Formats: sequence, C-alpha cells, structure tokens
Amino acid sequence: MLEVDHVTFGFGHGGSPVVSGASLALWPGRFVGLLGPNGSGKSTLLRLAAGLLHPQQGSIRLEGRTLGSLGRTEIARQVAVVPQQPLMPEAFTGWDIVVAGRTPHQAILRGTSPVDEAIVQRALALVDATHLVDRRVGEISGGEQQRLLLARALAQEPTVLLLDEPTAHLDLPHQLAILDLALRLARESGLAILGVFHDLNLTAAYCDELSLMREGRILVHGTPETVLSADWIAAVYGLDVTVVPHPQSGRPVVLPPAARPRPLNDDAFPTRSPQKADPSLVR
Amino acid sequence: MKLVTAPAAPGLFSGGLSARSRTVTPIIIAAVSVCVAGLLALAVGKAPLSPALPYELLLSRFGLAASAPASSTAETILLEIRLPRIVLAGLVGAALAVAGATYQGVFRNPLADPYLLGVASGASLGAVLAFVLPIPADLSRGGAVQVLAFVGANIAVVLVYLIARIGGSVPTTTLLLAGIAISAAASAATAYLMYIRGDQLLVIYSWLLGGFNVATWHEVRLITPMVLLSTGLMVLGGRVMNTMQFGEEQAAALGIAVEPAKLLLIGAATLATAAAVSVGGLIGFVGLVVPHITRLLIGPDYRRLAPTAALLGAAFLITADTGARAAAGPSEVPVGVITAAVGAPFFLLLLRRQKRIAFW
Repeated sequence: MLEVDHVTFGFGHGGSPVVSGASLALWPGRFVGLLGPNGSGKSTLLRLAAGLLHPQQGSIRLEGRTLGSLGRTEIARQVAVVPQQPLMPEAFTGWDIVVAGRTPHQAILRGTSPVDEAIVQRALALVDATHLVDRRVGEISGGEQQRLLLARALAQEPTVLLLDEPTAHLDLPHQLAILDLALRLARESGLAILGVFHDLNLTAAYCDELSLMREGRILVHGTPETVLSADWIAAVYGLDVTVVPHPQSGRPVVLPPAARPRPLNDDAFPTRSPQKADPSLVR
Repeated sequence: MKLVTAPAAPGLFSGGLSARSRTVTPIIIAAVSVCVAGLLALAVGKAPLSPALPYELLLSRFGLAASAPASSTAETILLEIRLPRIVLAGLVGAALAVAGATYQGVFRNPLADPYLLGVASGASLGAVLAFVLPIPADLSRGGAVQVLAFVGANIAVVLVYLIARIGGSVPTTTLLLAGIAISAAASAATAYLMYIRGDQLLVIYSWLLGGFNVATWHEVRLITPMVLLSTGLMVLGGRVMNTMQFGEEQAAALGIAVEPAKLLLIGAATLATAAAVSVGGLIGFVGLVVPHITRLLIGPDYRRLAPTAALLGAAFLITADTGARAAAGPSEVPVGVITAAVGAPFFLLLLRRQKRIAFW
C-alpha cells in the first residue's frame, strides 16, 4: 500500500507549489484515476508517489515506510512507473526495452536468467507486443512504444503501478485493451494502480475511485459517480457539461457542451479562471 | 505481483530467445582479434629480424620447438622493445575505447569522446608545463611529463564536475558546457606556453600527436592497474548505462541511484583516459569511433558493448601502431595520423552499409 500524506511540492524556491497538501491512498486491488486540467499537478503528484521527486512537506509511505528511507532499488522492486513522454533509445529492440524492467531484481554481476526471460516474455504477451521483440524502437509507432513501456513496468513485478497518461498515443481499441489489462492486474494480481488520464469517460468506466485536481490541490476524491458530477466539472474545468449514466454500466458519461463556433480571438483557448467551487461541496 | 510463478526451464522459448541477451560470442571474437593483432605486430619493426623469428622464439619458450634459434640481441629487441610497446598500445586502445563508450552512454550523446570533459586539455597543459619548467636533476623529463599530464587531466575533470554540481545533482548539459569552458581555458594556457617557448615546440607537438616510440615495461606497469580497475568498473556499469538510455529519471524509476552511478562511471572513464593520455599522448579517433564501430557490429546493449569496445580498441590501436612502425622512411608516422587515416574510411564504409536508421 502506498500512502501520499499531505504532500506539498514546488519547483525551485519561492515559486507557488505545484502540488499542495495532496493526500491519496493506493490499496492493493484498487484502480484509482487522477483527473484534472493541464498543469493541475497530476504528473508531479505521480512522480512524487514514485519517489522521483521529494516532497517539501508531508510524506509518502510504502508499506508504512517513508520513501526517503528506502533505496532506489527497494522502491523499484515495488513501484513501477509508465512515463508520459519518455526518452526512448532508438536502437534498442522491444526486448531491450522490457528487459530493463528486470534491473531492480538483478544483482550487478548476474546476467539475465531464464526466469527473467520468462517474465519478459509474459510481460510482452500481456500488452500484446510479442511481435515487437526484435523491432527497433526507432522503427515502431508511438502507441507500440507506450505498450513496451507498460510491459517494462510489468516486468518489474511491482505491487504499485503508476501510469502517466498510458493511453495518450493509443487508438480506441488499444486504449480499452490497456484499461482492461490495468483492471485485470488490479483484480487478479492485487496491484495498486494510480493512473493519470484526460478522458473522463474511459476513466469513469474503469476506475474504482477518482481524484480531481485543480491548481495543485485534490478538490474531491470518491467514486466516479460522486466525482464526475456536472458541478465538480464546472468547478474544475469551467465547462458546462451534461452527465448521464452509461446505458449498460450505469457509470457516469460526461457529454461536453454542444459546439459553439466563435470568431477566432485571444480567448480561443481556455484561461485558468474556472467558476469558483461551491465551498459547500469541498470535503 | 508475480508474472511467472515457477522457475522456467531453460530453453522454454524457441527461436534462440533464451540465449539472446547472454551471448558472449562477440566478446570472444574481439578477444581473439586482439591476440592476432598482437602476434602479427611482433613480426614488424625497424630492426632487421626474420619475420618468423618471434614465433620460433615463442614456440621454443613454451617447449614446443627443439632449440632456441634467437640471438640474445634479437630476444632483447622482441621482449624489451616490441612486446611492451604492443601491450602498451593495447592497454591505451582499450582504455580510450571503453571510456568513449561510457561517456557516450552516460551523456546519451553520440558525439561524446574521452576528451570531452577536459581530459585532453588538462593533460596537454600538464605535459607542456613539464616540458617548459625546470625539472630537478634526479627526475627524468619523460617521467615528469607522464605525471603532470595525468595530474592535469584529473584536475581538469574534477574542476568541471565541481563547477557543474547544483545541489546534490550534476546535470549532464551543465557538465558538458563546463567541460568545454575549462578545456578552452586550459588550451589558452597551453597555447601561450608553446608560443613563448618556441624552442620546445617540436617535442611538445610530437607529444600532442601521441605515440608509443618510447614504450617500455615501466609504462605498462604504471598504467595497467588503473586501466584494469576503471575498465572493470565500466564493464560492470553496462546495465546501469542501459537504463540511463531512457533518461536519468527513468533510470531512477528502474532502481538506479543515478548520481552516485554517474560519478562512478565518469570517474572510471576519466581515470582510464588520464592513464592512457599520460603514456600515449593525445591519440584521437579511437575513443570516438571504436564505440560506434562496435555498436554497428553488435548493437547498443552496454553490457556487451563496453567489453567488446575495449577489446576492439586494443586490437585497433595495436594494428595502427604496427602501421606507424612499419611506415617507410627513417622516422615513424604518428599513430594518431594512422588511426584517423585508416579508421575513418572503415567507419564510413560501415556507416554506409548500415541498413537501419537507428543504430545509435
């Protein structure tokens, strides 16, 4: 279990914090979605949870021990990250990428064992990337690269999986495949999963719990039904949406406002001035 | 999470997959090429010896031939002049090539070479100081050059590292730029010293070009421990360098303590380069291109790339130095001229034959 406890973090000195007072608990078997506008601090919170950034206030605990007291190898044996915009070594093959996930489990003098190889094979199969074993990264699509990175994370055999927009470059069937896989890993292997997403509807359909962030704070946390209300979406995104239940699952489906063509001007992109949240809604 | 519960039996996967990342064939081939280059090099030299003589001598030494055919003069030439020179060229070639591969790996930069962080300019300044300063009578000029070149190389890199450190981390871009600045400053001092001491210009210039014309077992003994230690560290760091190819944050997420690993790898590469430069001068090309040639031949996995590059670097520099010794005329051709003149076309040929877009 990974606990993020009232964590505050800012880049540089004196700047406003990117994440302030955020708390979150990741339990085995639960799939948590982290939502919020661009720049609301989602990815930073995820990197804090992975121990890649160090909180200025608050603490992050893995099985009760603060991340700061654990070595990098110890953390990497339990926590795996799928990065959003990774640097990819173009000459590496699919195999080279995924076998890197075994790094925290390998002693410095030991090579790749048959067990490691079986795990890499299994991870490749899970993300439907077995055919990429001998392909060079520079010669495959962004979506295929993303699946290899997920396979690399699975090859770490983690207990906590942190996904930073894992579906960003994927077509709809592959998005569903990744989310299906994440849900299965949570249910069948007991992984604790935190995913940053932008697609409200897919997130609502798959996640057990959602957290909605704005300007570094987690405004609301709860079931998809609680979090994806028209009021909260107005508060966080400044959009007037309609929320209806999914005809099959009953999960919320967010319908954006109807198209409203406007002349191009400086207001073409959303400013960061959403409606003030109704204070009575903030937990 | 456990992806595989029971230990897999070897050979579970067909198509040679299970041997994929463990094959040592390229390392063995590279090691054989070092031995072949060394044996061939024994037969070449200015002294008028029969080309077969070294091998007859070797065979008799191991009790495989009936009698020792060599005169003691010939034996001295082979064992005290040619052999130490071959061994020294091999050590220097290995050190430069593996250091180049390491700098390229740590900086994720194909243009990185062993002289990147100021080793070359620091060593040059040290060597030039040894040429122009008065040396106490009980010290030899050559020894002073070696020591000051070694010290200068290390001082330059330590300075660069300290300047580039921000808080607890050393960003590689800052490190690169600090290296360029320190190099420029040291080069300026070197140029000034050479300008005011024009009488020493020829000896200084011939040191800067690099070569092994005064190689003895003394030089071999000096650098062997340093080269073996640092090369060992860089070979062990192969897996770390593999993870660093994903960027430093990803390397950390994969369980690497990035800053200590970077310090250790850069330290090892610097020690190897400084040792090589102190006895061989500034031999160019080996450290930049041998890692790339190795990459083109066997791929980018640093666990195999580092040892193979070291061995191919040794074979390459032994061969180039043999060319320098065999060159027509009374004096030798500087080995740096040979490495570039022969190595560049070979590298370009490999580059053209490369079918893949992404070899780096």
